Amino acid sequence: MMNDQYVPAAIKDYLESSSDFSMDRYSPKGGFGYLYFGTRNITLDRVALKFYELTGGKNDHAEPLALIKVSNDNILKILDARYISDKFAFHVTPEIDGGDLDHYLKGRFIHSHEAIQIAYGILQGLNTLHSEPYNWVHMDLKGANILIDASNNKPYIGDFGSVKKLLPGKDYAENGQSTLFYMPPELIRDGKHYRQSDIYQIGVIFFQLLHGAFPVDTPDQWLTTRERHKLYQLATAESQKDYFKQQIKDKIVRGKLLDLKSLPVFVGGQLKRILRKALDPDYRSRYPNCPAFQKALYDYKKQSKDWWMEDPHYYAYCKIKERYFKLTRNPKSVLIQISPDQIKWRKKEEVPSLDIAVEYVNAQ
Amino acid sequence: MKVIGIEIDGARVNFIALDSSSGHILEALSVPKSVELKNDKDFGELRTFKELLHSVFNAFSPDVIGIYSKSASGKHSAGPITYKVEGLIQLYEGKNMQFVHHKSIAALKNKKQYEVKCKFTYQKQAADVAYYLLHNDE
Repeated sequence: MMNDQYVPAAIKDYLESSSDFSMDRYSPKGGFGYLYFGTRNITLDRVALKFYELTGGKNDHAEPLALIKVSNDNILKILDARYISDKFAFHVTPEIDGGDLDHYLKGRFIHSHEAIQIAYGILQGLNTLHSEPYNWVHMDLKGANILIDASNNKPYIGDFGSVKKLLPGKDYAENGQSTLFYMPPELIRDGKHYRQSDIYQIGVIFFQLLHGAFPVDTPDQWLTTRERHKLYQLATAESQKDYFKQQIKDKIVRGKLLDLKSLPVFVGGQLKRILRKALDPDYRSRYPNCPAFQKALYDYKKQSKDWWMEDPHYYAYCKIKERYFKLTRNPKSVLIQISPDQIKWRKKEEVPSLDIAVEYVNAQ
Repeated sequence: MKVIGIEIDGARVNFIALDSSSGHILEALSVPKSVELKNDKDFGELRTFKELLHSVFNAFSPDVIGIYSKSASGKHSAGPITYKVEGLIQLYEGKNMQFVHHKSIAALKNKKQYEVKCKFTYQKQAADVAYYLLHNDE
């Protein structure tokens, strides 16, 4: 049972009769298309098939046409594209084993350096889209559109349905559709999407990667108590939805949606500055392009410790000194231990708070 | 014409990106001015460093990239890390790349009497290369 009952019969019939593919999974995350996963029967590799409806318009094949043109290690490669009838077509890409970033992050604590490496990789792919000869803006970068290779945390930009080319002399695109929580402020204010709007969306993804509060499964947590109270007073589901959307958009425009205070204690001032710059409500104050953002991440990573959390402990690794740190919270203090191998730990220091402990470790 | 001038100072790469397509020479301020490799023995960092350099080139999309040529011997010769970094830059595909010797720069400056401008002193040699590329093309 693949839970694909809403998929048009023509697509299901095609898959049933096809000797080329054996599909075993359907995903409802195909955006405007229908997404299946399975195996190619000859080459035996895992692939994703995205079916889409043909409207007869020039944009019918926009996504596969975009994917086939771009060559970059951080952009999903297209393996094939075919018609199945005059109403439907599909394209084939490799299946990326970690799934999308939203799925990948669930129940997993990404190390700080892994988070940086993933954001860096997305920027690497995006830079190709932004550069000559493409001059594209992606417009819908979000966790669900980033695929992760679980073996090495390599990210792939995986959905090109929203990509637009910047016209000569224009540095923005219009009429873009972005997902609510990733909407850049200027898109809400003026309906314009710049290259720096993509940078903003990567800033949001980076915030998620660093484990900032991003309650997509419990959306009313985005609201204050007062706003929630007002929401529940509204009579219809439709008016509640409109009110909720409006509140989120207002927060985005004011730069108040993402609370940097919700980040783990080890996300210090320098990393927060990088985030603030990427998420600045004024697009002109953000990183002007991908390399500038990449440089900030690169400079930070090369002189910082790699932090992670395994409840109830915080850990850090210093690559230069090849030394691990473990922070354990006690009722009145925080114990700092060090180890060369994470097996033999010895006490290094005991300090009154977690903030001081992080500061102490970062200074080592 | 769009050019990037590069000088490699040990593990540090100094850039200047110039665009003369409007008739005036303008510096592209969005291009990072320098990038430094911290640990050349760290494979991961080396790869990331290479990607960053190539990202800078992609973003500006220059017609030519020029590298300030340093001698292999003598008091001011380049060290081994410089050559390593130079190799990473040379791996960039698809653009015309050339070495520019200080003697060529001096000769052209003498001949055409042009002014070299840069915001920071550490960009001086990179700027020499970039202006050379622009004026040599005239």
